[in-house]
Amino acid sequence: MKETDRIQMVRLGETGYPSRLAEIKNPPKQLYYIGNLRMLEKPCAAVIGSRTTTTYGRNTAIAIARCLAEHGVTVVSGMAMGIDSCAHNGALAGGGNTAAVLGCGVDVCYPPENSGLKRELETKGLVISEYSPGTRPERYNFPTRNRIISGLCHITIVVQARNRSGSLITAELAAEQGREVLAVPGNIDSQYNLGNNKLIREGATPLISIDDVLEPFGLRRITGEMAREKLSDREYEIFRLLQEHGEMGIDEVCYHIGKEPGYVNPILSVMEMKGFIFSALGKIFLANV
Amino acid sequence: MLTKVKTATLSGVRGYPVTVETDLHRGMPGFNIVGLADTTIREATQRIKPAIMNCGFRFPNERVTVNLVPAAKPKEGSHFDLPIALGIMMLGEEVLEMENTAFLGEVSLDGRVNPVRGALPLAMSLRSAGIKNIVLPAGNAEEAAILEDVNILPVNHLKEAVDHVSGERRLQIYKRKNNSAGGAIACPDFAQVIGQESVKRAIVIGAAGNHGMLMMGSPGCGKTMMARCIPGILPELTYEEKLEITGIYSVAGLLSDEHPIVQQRPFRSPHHTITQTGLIGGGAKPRPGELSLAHRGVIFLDELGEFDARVIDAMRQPVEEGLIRINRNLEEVIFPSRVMVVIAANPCKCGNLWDERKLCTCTPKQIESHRRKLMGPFADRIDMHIRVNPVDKDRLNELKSGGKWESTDSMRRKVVAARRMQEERYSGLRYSCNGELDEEGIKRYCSLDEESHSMMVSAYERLNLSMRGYNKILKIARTIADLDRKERIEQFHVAEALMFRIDSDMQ
Repeated sequence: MKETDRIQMVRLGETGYPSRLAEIKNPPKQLYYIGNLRMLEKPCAAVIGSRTTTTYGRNTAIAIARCLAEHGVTVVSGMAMGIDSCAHNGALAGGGNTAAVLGCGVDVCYPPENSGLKRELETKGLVISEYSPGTRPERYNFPTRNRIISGLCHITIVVQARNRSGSLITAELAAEQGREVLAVPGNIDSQYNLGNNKLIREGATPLISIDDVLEPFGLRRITGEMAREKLSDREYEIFRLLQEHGEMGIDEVCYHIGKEPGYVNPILSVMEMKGFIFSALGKIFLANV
Repeated sequence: MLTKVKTATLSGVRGYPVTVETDLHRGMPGFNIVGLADTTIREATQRIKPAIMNCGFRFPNERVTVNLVPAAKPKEGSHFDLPIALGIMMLGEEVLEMENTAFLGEVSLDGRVNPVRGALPLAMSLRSAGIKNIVLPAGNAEEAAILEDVNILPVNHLKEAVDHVSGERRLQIYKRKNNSAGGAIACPDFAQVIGQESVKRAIVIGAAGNHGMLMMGSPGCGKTMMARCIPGILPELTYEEKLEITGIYSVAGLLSDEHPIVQQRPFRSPHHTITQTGLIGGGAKPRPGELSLAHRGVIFLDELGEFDARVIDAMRQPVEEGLIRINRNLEEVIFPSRVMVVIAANPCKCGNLWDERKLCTCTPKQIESHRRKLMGPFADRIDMHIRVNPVDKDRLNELKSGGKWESTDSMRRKVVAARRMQEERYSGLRYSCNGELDEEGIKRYCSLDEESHSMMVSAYERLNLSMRGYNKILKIARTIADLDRKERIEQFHVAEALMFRIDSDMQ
């Protein structure tokens, strides 16, 4: 199949044009897309953030997107490096719908590192753009592209944003369009969370658990006490500790439960293999169960 | 007329006995040295003649030929001056029986005897050849006197040596100044390290099994400090080990009057600009490199990413085999290199990747290239990968109130006990500790019960272990079991060992 054959187009006013997008002040006159456009009629949530991120940010983006996708919400993002890619991947991992809104032609892959992700999105999800095929990814395209991301969605979730991130523009546009803005609270010490924390100060709804993302859609999480069931008492003690504190170093775990590393190390290994935690950056993180 | 004087020569860090034969016969006056002598020895002809004459003796006005036996072995070193000079001076003189005495030393033009490199390994080879008395420069006496069953006869001047040989005045047997562990360069104590209990646990495991360690963490979190403490928790050197190490330092010319004998396990921390020869050893006349200077101690590579990749690669084989072979045209020189490798590395180029409080300025490309540089074939062979975090400021205060941190003494006791288990298990075998086990040894000594095996299988699947990674975990589990004083490896030993695997994503 030729590249151009896969690309389809829909004009404003035609059937199939996303209805929520038509409501905004300056909707795009036409949309080029590859994939299934109908997913945009389902409940949609934008999951966005900076390109440079921390493990916390990436994990949260994956967890949020996955949770949304598992509950039938379409995850919309911008296919950039960092949080955007994690959002798409998380939704794909959850076996749900996800759409990427590009700032270039739908046949152009930007950033080029994401070519694998783009191919997956084309077959399992949706790639969409207002720019005609072949348009280069110009800097000035991206802020205008952002109005589409927020315009397509009921809610916009900013996972992690640095002080002057483009995702803050998206959040602003969402607010102007009358859509709800949510932000993930971040570590107060961290440079990477300045933007999202600032949004909270300005009135965005803070997410205090992953399940909170379901609330605007009136959904409830289907979950059991998996941890209690599958973990031994010693493991559960550490699990609870991590739930309470978030990420921790091994020394901190030892300190809090008053045991030596020789006692804690084996437990952590077993928990990691059971899939409840994982280690990165020299710390222990709770996995997204 | 013919005389024979015993001495020795160096090959790498080993000595070999040599006999200096001196012959005098009629003909054109001349002085020749044969028997694969190097330049320093051939120059001896120029040194010895004035030295003998300046001492008030006569230099034969005939043809002098010196032959170094065995003739086929290359010989080097200025310590041949003394035996050659004596050989000439003894020609036609009444001398005492010198069958059991060897001589070494460099002679100045005024007849003074100067200290030489490698006195200890030279003396050791003479000892094993059955020599009872060794005459050597006074400056080398303390070093050589570590040998307990030979008489060390220090000499300051050529005349004294002549008097000794002629029986006019015998040299005095040297008595060691300090038999104690004096001259020890104390390494810092682990009690000075605040927090970092999990890293210290890892270090105990690494030291107990002599496993290589790679510590990764942000700059300033204490990696270097902890590495410097490691020699202190290793078992004390035995007499034979001290001999061996002192011999290497003697050849390298690193012994001083204050530290004539190496009493402590070495800690070598070469700078990252080091060359391959500097690290492995070599040169036209092979000299030991940093790896050999760290023999039976610790070699610490600070900031692995900064080292030349080829230099690091060249370390692989010596570290695995425990020795370095250097081939020169006529002989193969062997340097020992049984070391514990300790490496420190930053997680990224700027070092801030793991520290959220600071901004990492690296691009994803830089992070990837840094990662690739670190995780080369050498790091892949390092048994334990350890993550080090900076100590939290709040924890610091918390701990300060009642803080007591494990000391070097308490850590060493654990290490020594685990090493003893290994010595018993491997006595008479080619292994000495778990870190040295090869495939065959792992199969024999790291067998798992049903439970532990199923854990390893699921780790293999879930944690993306490679086959080498799998074997490394088994070796570490063996050491953890030894620390636990168990002959059988149990499930939680394996589980703890898994903490030290290579980070599969190493983000």
